[in-house]
Amino acid sequence: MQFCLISLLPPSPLDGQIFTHEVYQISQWATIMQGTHYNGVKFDQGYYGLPYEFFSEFDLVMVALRSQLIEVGLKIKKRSTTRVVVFFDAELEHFTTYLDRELQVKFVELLNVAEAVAVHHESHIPVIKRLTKKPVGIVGLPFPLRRVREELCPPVEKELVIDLGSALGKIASRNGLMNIAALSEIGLPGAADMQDPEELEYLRVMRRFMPIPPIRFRDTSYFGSGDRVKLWEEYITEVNRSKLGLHLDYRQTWGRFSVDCAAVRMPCISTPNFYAQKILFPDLTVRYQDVEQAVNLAKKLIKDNSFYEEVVDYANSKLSFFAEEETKKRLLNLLD
Amino acid sequence: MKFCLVCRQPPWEMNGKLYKLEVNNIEYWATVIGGTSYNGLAFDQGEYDLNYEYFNEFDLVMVALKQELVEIGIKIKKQSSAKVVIFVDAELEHFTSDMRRDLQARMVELLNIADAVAVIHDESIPFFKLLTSKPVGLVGLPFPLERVRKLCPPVQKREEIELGSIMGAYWLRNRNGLVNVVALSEIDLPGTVDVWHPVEKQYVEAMREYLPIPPIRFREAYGWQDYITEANKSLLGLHLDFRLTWGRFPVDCAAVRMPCVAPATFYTQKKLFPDLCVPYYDIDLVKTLVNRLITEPSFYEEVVAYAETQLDFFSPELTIARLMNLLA
Repeated sequence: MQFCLISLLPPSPLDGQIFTHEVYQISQWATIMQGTHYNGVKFDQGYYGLPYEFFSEFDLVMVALRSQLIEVGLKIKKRSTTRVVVFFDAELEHFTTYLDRELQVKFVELLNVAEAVAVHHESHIPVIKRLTKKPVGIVGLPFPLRRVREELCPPVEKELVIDLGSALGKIASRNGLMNIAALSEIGLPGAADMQDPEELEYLRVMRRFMPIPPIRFRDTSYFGSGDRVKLWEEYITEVNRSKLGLHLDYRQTWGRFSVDCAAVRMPCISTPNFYAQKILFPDLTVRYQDVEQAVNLAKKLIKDNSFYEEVVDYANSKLSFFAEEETKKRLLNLLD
Repeated sequence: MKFCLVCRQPPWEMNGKLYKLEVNNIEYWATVIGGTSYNGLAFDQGEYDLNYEYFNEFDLVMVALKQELVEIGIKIKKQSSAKVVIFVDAELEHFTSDMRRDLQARMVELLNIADAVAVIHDESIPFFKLLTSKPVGLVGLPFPLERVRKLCPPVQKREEIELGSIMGAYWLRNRNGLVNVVALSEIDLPGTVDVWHPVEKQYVEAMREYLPIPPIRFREAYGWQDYITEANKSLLGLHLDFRLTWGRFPVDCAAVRMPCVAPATFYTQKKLFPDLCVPYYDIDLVKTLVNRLITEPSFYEEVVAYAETQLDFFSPELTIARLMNLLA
């Protein structure tokens, strides 16, 4: 199958070539489908010097949908003969509230002219299936499990550090302040991706009022500059050193962080708003605002080794759901 | 007590005067305490020609906190001798995620130099308690029930569903309006809603190509009094919002004696309509509840009667008492 992914990933020299790099980002779809990728906004601006008819060369185009790619998705469908699957690449609220209203109308049109709609949380389905007559199903993001387990992250002695799914951030924060508040109460050191050195200054101000433990900042943010493949490899290698993950996010979304944690054999405390969390760590799932419960669970994981091992074992038994083969199968079933 | 509210309501001629306005919004605080109100940004820009020391005149200043008022709250506290209560005036996510990061740090400072923090959802208390050593408690917005009951006598309800939000032309007017429209399509009863711009009708019309959206009676919004008088004619309210916040809409519904289907992420919904709480995306459950309300008069009456027993909680007297307890 000739496959093409259209996303908002920054343009790179690899665009237009067969993707082979294995990272837990949207580009992994191009890799596992042995296809290629283009940045949708740049494509529309003529950056690649290709017309929309070009997409007729592909059997399937996956549009990783965010607001900026709605018009692009419509153009691909209307000006080429390819099949189009819309892949939700943002939380449900992005589409139901934060989208410009004109685009909401076009969003509904796109859902109806595309061949199928791949969502990443079961709670999306009741809303989205009413917006389109086309098939709607959970597909999710394929995780490069073999590579993480066999190449990047061997079992290591864990450090007594809590990995935060988000800190304060500069470009984007995913309830990072909630994570920091919980960390203050847990009282253990943290580790997190840093998007900008300014974050240290914000923490310095907050430490005058809150007992925020030391946080080891890594320069491996997805939002940072540099080689995003290399950054991700460094990120997952670093996460592997932590004892457990914590991410009190409010968005209804897939939840890559929970999968990262399971893959590096550590528990993750997070919310049912992450579909991955519900599957992998049902006993560590808390509402994002329930900081007290999150703190209690973290303390239990640190003290109770058998509980720690039990939740890690359970997550391990569920990981195949997130691996390439199973995820690809869900996509192809949706298109049948 | 000399009271001043500092908020983001647009500046108008009442600023600086004794408030008499009785509406279900933040400015009602100025009325119930017998005080006044200013727009914080306009104050900071000198539009009232007053300096921050001016706040010395007040015993209590309530800062209705959104990100734009963080610095202003700090200036009031540092440049005057007034007691300052922070009233959390947005959904929890506004403070934990959407707020600019430098302002998040400054907010933590403000929460600690202020005298108390009044929140609008009980579930946000644990979070705010971790950010400040000052008292944190649920206070909420007072509701002008007496006035509403005069404006809105019992009427024959229309077979219409009042929507808490539609696909608003303005950014802040959209609160998951698309999900409300999706649910309405499934319920198959006409809807009604205030519109703020004619283009909102066009959005709905364009979607009808794909969605069986029932007729929606669009009302032009001329103010809160007109809105509540019209809402009184609806059969029930529907608002599938995702934000963890106070939820003015369920109180409006209860006050005009109609049920409201909404998520428990609205504090008021949990309090007033516990049997009508749904996850915002659970359209099947919404449909079941609405059908039951329509076909089972006893259920309809039961939930309305229950809400009626809880309405006191939102009265000016009890709401002021919660504020004073927090400050005591």
